Amino acid sequence: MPSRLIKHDLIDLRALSGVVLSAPPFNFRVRACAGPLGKAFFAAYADFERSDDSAFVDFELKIRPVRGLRRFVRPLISLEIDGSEPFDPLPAAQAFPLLEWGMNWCVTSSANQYLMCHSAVLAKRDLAVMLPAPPGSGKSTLCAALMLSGWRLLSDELALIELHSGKLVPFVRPVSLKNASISLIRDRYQSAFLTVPVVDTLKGTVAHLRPTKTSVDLARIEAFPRLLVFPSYISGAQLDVQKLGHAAATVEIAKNAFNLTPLGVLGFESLCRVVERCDCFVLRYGRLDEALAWFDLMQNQLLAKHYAG
Amino acid sequence: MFWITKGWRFRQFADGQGLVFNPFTGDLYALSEIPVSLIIAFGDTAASCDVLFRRVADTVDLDGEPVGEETVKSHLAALVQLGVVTSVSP
Repeated sequence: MPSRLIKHDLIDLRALSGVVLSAPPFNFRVRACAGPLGKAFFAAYADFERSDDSAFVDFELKIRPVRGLRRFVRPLISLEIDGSEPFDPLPAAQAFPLLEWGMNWCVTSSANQYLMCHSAVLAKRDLAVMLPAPPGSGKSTLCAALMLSGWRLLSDELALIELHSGKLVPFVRPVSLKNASISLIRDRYQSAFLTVPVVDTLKGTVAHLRPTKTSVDLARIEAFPRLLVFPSYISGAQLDVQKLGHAAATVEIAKNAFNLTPLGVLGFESLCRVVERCDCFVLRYGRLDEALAWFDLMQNQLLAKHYAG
Repeated sequence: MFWITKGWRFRQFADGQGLVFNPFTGDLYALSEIPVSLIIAFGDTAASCDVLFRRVADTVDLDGEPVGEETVKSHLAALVQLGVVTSVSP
């Protein structure tokens, strides 16, 4: 029987059985034998459920100290996933970011029952928007702001698309913020919870934003995509929105797909079905307020069209 | 020449824009962006779309050498005769 994660479970992180985190549609067993993982983990996943030990576990993750002198001197940790270590060891302070990157890797390397795209996904009143974009485009900052402005988060990083229905399957997790976006979100949304920033990672300074309780509570509710937006943040830029044809949009989203090649024709057909349902745009923005206002306008227009039949 | 061989997929959207997909490599091309002037489709793919025949003057053959209009036309005629190309649209 699932139960809410609580701080007391910190003890179980170090036990052999670990903690089975329910992050639908997957279960992750997390064990931490080293590093300051516990506080950030329980804070970022505060509203999530812990599955009991009888639940099927999709991925086994363990943070453990490296062997030898670096276990004690400027300690390093490594992440073991299903018995192998796909990442280089990192400083112990980076335990939580390492876990998050590991969880992403687990899914992108094996969840080929979905078409997977590097994209944020949010929804409001059952109309979902996809924000496919490469790293550094401002996607996560925009995603965080949309979530904290009332959109429910389906994912900040990975769009999981059901191959036959084209539905977007939520994979709600903490939103990863980097560098300047950390203070931007913290200053703008003072009631939002962020983990303590971790400096000097490969991606710079990283902090994780706890997803809203609404997003977590609705983490099993799928949505059909209706808006496909390719965002890019340019400091000081005026809002510029260009409509994109379906073929060009398909090519652009394909660049952000993780597994189009192994899925072959099935993935292609699935991708085309997604794009066909959507109004597609390229969005260049320099101010969050303008971008957020545009999304609300688009959502209202699409809803009006939807209910008008 | 841009060769679309058996097994590739063609898709046309309601707005008229077209795509071709190579399922063997995952490569995806919007038809308007293909930087060559001649596209030949074979087999099953040809059955689902007409061969797209664009400006012949800049056509390049598989060895990278430019070929003239007459050479391309005779190649196409041979392919039609072999039955691997179902139609040619100028």
